[in-house]
Amino acid sequence: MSSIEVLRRGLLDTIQDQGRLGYQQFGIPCSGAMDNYSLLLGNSIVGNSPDEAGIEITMTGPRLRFRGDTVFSVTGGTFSPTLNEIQIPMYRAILAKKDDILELGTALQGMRGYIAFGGGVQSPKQMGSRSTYMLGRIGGLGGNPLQIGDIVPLGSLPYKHLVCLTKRNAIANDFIPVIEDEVILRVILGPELERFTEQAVSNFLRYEYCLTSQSNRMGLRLAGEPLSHSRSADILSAGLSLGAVQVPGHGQPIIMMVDRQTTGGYPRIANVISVDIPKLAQLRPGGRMRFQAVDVRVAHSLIAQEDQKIDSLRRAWGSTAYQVTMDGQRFSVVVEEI
Amino acid sequence: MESYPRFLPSGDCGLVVEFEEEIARTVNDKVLALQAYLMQANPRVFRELIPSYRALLVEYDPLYITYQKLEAYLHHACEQARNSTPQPLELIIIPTVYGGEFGADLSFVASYNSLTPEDVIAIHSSVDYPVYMIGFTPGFPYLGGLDSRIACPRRATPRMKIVAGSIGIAGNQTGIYPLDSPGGWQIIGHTSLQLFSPEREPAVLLRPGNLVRFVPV
Repeated sequence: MSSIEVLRRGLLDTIQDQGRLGYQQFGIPCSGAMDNYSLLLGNSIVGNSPDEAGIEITMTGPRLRFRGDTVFSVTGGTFSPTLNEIQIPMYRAILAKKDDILELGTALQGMRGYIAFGGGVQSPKQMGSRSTYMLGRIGGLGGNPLQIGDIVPLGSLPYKHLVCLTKRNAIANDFIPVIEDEVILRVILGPELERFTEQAVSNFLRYEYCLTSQSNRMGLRLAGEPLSHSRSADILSAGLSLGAVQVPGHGQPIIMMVDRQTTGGYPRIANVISVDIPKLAQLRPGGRMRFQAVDVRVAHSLIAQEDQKIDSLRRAWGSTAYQVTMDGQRFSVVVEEI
Repeated sequence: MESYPRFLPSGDCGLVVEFEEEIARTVNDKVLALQAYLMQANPRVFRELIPSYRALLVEYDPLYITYQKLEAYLHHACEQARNSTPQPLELIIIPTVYGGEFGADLSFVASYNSLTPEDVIAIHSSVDYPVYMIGFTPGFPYLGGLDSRIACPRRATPRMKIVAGSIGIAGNQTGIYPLDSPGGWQIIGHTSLQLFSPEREPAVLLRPGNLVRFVPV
């Protein structure tokens, strides 16, 4: 098995996959990548299945040493990655040899980056996922962000497979998300729409809101036109979906993200749609947003489009290198042109 | 008059089924009965089923089912679940050390209510509290049934750290902290039981539909 060693930490480097499902009824959040699209893309580029784990980095990246040959890709925010101090492109499968050093700088654009490795990060799963949930100290390595000296275990692929992955063409530009610091977020209104004045709903959809620095993987606090409630600002605590826009008594919205508490007691004016969550994950403090109401059917067709897009990428690339299991044994199969 | 249940979108992957807006066993029973029905009828269709006081949040995959179809199905499921007999509540005993180092606010709660600390202990440990829901942090139970004679406002200044296992009162609620965390509850005691232990299966001690009894030790 290959692995990497952490030589220097970034601001917050955590192991994340697509999240921990089925435990919110017990108060355990789903966690997972904030910008799940970028992690999915990274996994596709290195030939992984969508559910493999990678490393999420925040604002400033780490310095890592490879302890074996592997292939990796960097996606998401622009962190100016270098391999042995030579600049390398993002969104490409890059071959790393033993003792190579990968370094990620400070993000020029965006907030979060993802490093995906061929074969995935192979830290132990807890409750079906490798995602780090720091407050509950689960997932990752002992429930913690990466520390200096940590050895992160990686899956291993045969050398020929690695080389084959790096020979692929670059992915088409339209797969690469455009990162902006002013975004339009589409929302589905409610479920507590009746708890707000009509004025509040129209203000919410009209004015610009700003992301404050009091934001993290649990929630993003916004500042802007305060939103007033039609009656009390307390509801009976209820389950929270990803992207729920809660409004406490002070009238400033909070958008609930992947490490959110599983239940909340403030009325929700709206919920950001799934395909727009990555835009929020990449927004920096000071970034601005406007909200636009859409219908559930519109949101669903956008989810279907994005799924087909990722799937087409996976199919196109899966045709050169894949893994098969026969009689319980795993084999890597590489198809080469002759 | 609102008619219940109500069905509302919670984003594009969630649907909330709401019952009457009150904290009551009869309402919470409907939520838990619907959850139990869905888990038994279609355990693989839903990503998450999150019960709360009076609502069930159903998280689904829109690539497999449309909102309209899901709503129609949940209508039917509510009808079916209504006919089921409520599950008997399982009693969980919480051995509790009241007062002292790990119950620093016991005397405050007593004097606030013009009672002795012994009265507070007697009243608090005389009731079986239903677990309406788990939320907020891993394994945190929302308990019903606190006797109003020992209700007490939150501390004006929250503590930076309350140790896991602390038992507190806030307003007309009582609860147990599963993790070390900051908080403003009046702490009256402590249990050595672990409400959340990731290495254990299941990781959480309590679940909705349990009855909690605090027993002084």
